Amino acid sequence: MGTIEECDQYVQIERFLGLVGNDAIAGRADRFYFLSDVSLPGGASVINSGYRWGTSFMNSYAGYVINRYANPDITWEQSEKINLGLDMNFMRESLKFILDFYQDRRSRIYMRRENFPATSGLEAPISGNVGEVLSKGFESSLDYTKTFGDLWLSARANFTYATNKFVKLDERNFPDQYLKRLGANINQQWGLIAERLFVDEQEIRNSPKQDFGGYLAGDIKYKDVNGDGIVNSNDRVALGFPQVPEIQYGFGISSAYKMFDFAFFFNGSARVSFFIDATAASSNDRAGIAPFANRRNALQIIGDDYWSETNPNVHAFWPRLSTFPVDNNIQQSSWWLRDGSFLRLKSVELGYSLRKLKRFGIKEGSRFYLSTENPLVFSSFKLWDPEMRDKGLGYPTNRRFNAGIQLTF
Amino acid sequence: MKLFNTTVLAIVLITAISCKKYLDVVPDNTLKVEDIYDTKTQAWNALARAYNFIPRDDDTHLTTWLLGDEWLGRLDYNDNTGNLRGMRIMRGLQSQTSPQLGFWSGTQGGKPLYQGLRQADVFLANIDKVRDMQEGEIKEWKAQVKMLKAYYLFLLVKHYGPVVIPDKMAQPESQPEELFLPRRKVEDCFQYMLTLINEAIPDLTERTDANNAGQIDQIVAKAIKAKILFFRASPFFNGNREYFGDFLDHDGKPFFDLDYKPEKWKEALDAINEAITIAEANGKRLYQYTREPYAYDRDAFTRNGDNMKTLYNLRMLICDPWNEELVWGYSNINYYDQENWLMLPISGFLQVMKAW
Repeated sequence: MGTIEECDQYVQIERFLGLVGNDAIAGRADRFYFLSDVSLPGGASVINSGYRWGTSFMNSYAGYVINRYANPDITWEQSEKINLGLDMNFMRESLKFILDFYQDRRSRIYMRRENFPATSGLEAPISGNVGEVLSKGFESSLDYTKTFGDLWLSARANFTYATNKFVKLDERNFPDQYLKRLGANINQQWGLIAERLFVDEQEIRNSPKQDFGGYLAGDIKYKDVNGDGIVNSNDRVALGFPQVPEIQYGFGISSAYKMFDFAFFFNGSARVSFFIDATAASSNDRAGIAPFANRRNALQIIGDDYWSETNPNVHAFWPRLSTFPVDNNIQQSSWWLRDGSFLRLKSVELGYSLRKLKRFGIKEGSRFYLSTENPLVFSSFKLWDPEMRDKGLGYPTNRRFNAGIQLTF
Repeated sequence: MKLFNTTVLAIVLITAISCKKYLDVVPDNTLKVEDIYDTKTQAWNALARAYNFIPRDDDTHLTTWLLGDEWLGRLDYNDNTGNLRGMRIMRGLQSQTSPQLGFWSGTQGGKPLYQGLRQADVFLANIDKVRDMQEGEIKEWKAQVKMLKAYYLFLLVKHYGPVVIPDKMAQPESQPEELFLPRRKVEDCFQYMLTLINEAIPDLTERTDANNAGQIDQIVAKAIKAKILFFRASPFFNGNREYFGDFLDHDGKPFFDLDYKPEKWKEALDAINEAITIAEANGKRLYQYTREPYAYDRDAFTRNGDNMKTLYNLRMLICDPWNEELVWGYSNINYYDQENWLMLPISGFLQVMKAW
């Protein structure tokens, strides 16, 4: 037996078990969460937290506000990690494969306790070490480098899968089981099930009442999931995949042949969903696509495909037009749910090296090149770049084309 | 060597002590609830906090006065007019998940009255700790807060019938079985209020001074008591089989007393007489407009004196601040947001009492 370095191929297995504590469990403002946080607001807050007396209303006190109750039992989070790594090398390290499984059971997570009735009379949200999340996944990568005569080739690929679920949390004791977050991914979203648009007033009268403000023909019709005759937030079900992709992957090749070099790289993500933001745009962070609101124009897709009395298409892209977002239509629902997975050609580069220009004082490493970033994206979502997700009117991902000369003197 | 050991020990000890101190810092200006109940100046804030849960009927957006048919005709308001809560309810837009004017849930313009109840409990548990208050003063404030507790509970019963009485104060570390309490029978709720009121009345001042107008004194307390007993005796709460005959709790017992009890009327009548007596003894009487009418109405007064007089009596009863018919004025008017101002009395109850 020789040493590992001398081996032609080897397999290495690593294993890691650990218990890790984390005391950075809340935001900076919540640093002293074991103490209560009481403030005397003063001034204009009389109406919100205080009272005034007197025939001339001058005997006034602004009261006090409890932002947080003392919680002396708070402790740190604990995370139980198990890692299992597999490291394989073949053909004198020209082919490498790494596979890394992990499991992380994080317990005593400091999070909001939801299961407080209004009758308790507590005025600030209560948090405690009540959460437990089990995360699992694996990371893998594959590298292959080889020289065939004049051709040099390096290919690489990676693939990551990560998922998690709530094992424990303090949530309301919902009578409808589908509202429970227990067992769901922490980034799972809930929303209403949109059936189609209302045909006419007759249909509205004969359907379960929808509890999101006024609605007319051409507005979205939702499913009454629990069948109680009213559509409200109790009819939300887990929709689509989590907001954060569970699968991320990439692959690419770099190669060189004589004076030419060529490289490209793809990346992609899968098992991810997002909701189109149908509210009115007000900033880059709230870049919804509602037409006419805030003096916005309408997107082409809305102009092409909307419900109107003359063309009452109950499956149109956009419901009834309005000059302000209709509350009934901007509820998070399957109407706006889209598959966020995509595969993107991230970069392509083609170069030609200038090795024969030494007499002009130009050294090795000088080259002509053509390159591009984000030239192509493959996705079932076509309206805008899927990586922009919900923010249709946000700042888009750039597509760039470069041609250049690189000279080294 | 011994000296060295002692030195090391001393250093370790000093470090340990100072380290403990070092770690034991509390951020500057940290205010705890106990600090509010330290001096009278701060305790005023606590009293103000307890009063704050009186519903803001003076604000158009939050008032229950819009719960009437006469407002529905405003065609310029569509169903998306979010803040006119009373009108939304009348348009059939009441909501299960976010109730309009929800006094139970504290949603959509409703004051969270259960927070008010807890606030009152916190006040009663801590006010004795104030250093610079006389015993009599503390007693008087306690009586006011007991009255508030009873009044908030009454508002809850008025809106929801059987309600939860959180007699043990909920704490952040309370477990679900301590938090999710059953709704009590309506008669139990009334008894709970009346016990509080009877405890409070002897400790209250008879009439507050002008600077504290709006606080609960004996005149107010007796009027509230009379109103509560009046509601309790009324056919809606007293033996209402028609509405509540099948409104049963988990054990199959009715939430409302289903047997009509005429003695409830007797109790109500006694309380009303008592309230009128004390009010009249303190100069309260039915409102009469005695000043000159406004210039633009003088013409109408000469032509149609009697009717105009009635009109002025009714109008100025609402508009004339702190008039002699006002028993308990809502004094927490919103100086900073006057567009929504209505300035109404909480209870024009004296008139109701005299009317029958």
